[in-house]
Amino acid sequence: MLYEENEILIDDLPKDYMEVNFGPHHPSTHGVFRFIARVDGEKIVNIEPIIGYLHRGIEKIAENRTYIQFKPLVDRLDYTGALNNELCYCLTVEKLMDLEVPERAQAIRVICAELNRIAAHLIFFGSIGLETGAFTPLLFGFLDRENILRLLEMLAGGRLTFNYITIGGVRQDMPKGFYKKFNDFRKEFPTKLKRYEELISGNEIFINRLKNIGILKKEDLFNWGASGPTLRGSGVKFDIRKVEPYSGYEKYDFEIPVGKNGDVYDRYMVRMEEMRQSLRIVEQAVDSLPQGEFQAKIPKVLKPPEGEIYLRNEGTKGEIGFYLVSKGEKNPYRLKIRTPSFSHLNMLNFALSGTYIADAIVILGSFDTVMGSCDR
Amino acid sequence: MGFLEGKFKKPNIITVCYDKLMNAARSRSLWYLTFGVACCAIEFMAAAASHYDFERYGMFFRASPRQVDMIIISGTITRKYAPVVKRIYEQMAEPKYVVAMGSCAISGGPFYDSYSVVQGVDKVIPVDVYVQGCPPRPEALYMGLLKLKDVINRETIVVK
Amino acid sequence: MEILEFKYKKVDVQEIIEVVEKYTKPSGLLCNFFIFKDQLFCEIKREDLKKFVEILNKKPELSFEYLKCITAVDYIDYLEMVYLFYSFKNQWSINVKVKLDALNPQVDSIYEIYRAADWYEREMAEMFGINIIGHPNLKPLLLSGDEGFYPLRKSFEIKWEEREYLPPKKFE
Repeated sequence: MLYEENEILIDDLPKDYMEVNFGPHHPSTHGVFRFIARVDGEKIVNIEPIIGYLHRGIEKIAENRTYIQFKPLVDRLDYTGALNNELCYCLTVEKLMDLEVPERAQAIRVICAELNRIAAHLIFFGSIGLETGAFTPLLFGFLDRENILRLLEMLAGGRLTFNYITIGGVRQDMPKGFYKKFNDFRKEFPTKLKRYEELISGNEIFINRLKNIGILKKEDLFNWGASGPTLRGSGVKFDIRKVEPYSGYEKYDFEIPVGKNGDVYDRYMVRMEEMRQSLRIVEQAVDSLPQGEFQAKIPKVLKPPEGEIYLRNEGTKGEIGFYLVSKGEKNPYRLKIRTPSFSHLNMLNFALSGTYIADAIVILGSFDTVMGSCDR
Repeated sequence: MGFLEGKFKKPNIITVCYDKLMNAARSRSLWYLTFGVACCAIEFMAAAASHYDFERYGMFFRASPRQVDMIIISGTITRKYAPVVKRIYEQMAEPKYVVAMGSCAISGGPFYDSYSVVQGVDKVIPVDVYVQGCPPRPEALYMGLLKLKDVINRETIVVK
Repeated sequence: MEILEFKYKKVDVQEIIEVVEKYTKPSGLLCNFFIFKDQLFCEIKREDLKKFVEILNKKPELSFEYLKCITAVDYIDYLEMVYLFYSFKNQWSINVKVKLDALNPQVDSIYEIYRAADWYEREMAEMFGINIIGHPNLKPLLLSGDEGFYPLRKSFEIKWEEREYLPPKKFE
């Protein structure tokens, strides 16, 4: 009798969860991201992401700088794809001012933005290797990235933060030796890419770590505001370069890679294929580079007319957009920056709930977030 | 001590200045923390990975602050993050060195007037070497690390 | 999973207005449309926001299922929340504006309809001091929570001068 009275079913017990803290200083959280995971054994129940460790108040600084003074700070948002940010910011201001950009400048912009996209995806290639426990991809990725940086240095004079694209064009014309250097690069890059893919894409350990992990459905991704390769990995053939073409992207012929299952492996493969497509775009743009001016005539003091505008671009991680409110003054009245990393980290609780703790870092890494762009 | 091998017939004593021996040992195996904050972290990674390669200077990455000699502050330190940096610094074992990489870590850089940025990491922890640039090239970072070797070589046990 | 494909389509802004009005008119919602540089803006009352957003999201003909971002602007006399929606199916964009009182700004949360609104609303709450009604978790997101000012309000100014470093009060 006593036994029956005290009988307790395990399911009735209040669940005892353990809290595991990751970050903000953790080698694999991509910068200064922190999350507290509530785990039930090996399974994650839910997580609480904590961001803001890199919040630099860029949006407030924008209100105190002129349009041109603010441009270098745009580089520091998503620092792996700095030129993509610059392109979006300049296009936003140009659209508000109704500025026409010369065709040569447009083509040079496409060249440098796509080269930067390859460089950013090579960092992803290195970091996803680190997350699954392989160190070699990082060394290979950075070695090849160095070649791209040398091309960009020739073009823009910088390695990471360029301040190259200006409102109305680009800062300087393409140097004479660029074509020759690029020819060397385009010959060797596809073979190298193939070698890297042979190294890890077909590796059984790598596939087992990545396949059927972190599966996300289309409808959920729409609702959580995901974009870019994360969205394409789940079988949505959506690319802002195709749907809302800007800077002459409609002239180039390229494919949009998509995944079928929406797992981490698909997101990885989408990015690897995107590198090839980006190279195709750069090749076409370099081969058909029009002659002419590289900079439109702009007034010395930029005073865009009153109005507000939202313009978005396909950044390296997803949709990057600027919401600009102008009052016809020298500095922006308000500038809101929509960054893909912010939306993707917002989704992280949803993506990680119910997965194993060993996969948490891999799923986080598959979104390829950059904290500078998330915290602003 | 390869160059002394086979020079002596009997066990022998070598006298050497203690400072020089310790400083030579310390400056040639600086282990650093994998500590990336912002943009400079990418240049820091480029300097540490292939092509530039830190390991030829005897530098090797460690993930725990307990095991490192040196921390490279690579990025903007915000008000929310500064206590974390301070705690990481306190967890490091003596002797410890700090390199402030990039203008954000030196003075706040382009975000000097922002409300949430700490104007230089030296308001939180002591800094040994400053490397300027936004971000510095890997070569500049190497120059700073060679300067750090000079800082270490100047150390002495004599009370001045 | 099947693959959804989207191609370039020319968008007629007038058509969006027609379809939106088809659904809003019967439910008595007042919308004030205006177009600026091929972008459709729609001004609505604060009380109608949730109802209006539900129409945008749920009606299959509209299916604005993607929230680009939420932002707010401080016009000193009043605050304004701007919601940017996108419809994958039709490739339509609509920017919904809501005017808020400057002294006591409050607005309904749309977190239940769009999950993406979660952090955007939290950000606006701490940056502008807007009270988001119905949001489940209104903790500070980007700041440490003891600043004592709303950074993106126009009344707060930043200066080019040296500041003392004050550690945040709360540090876990």
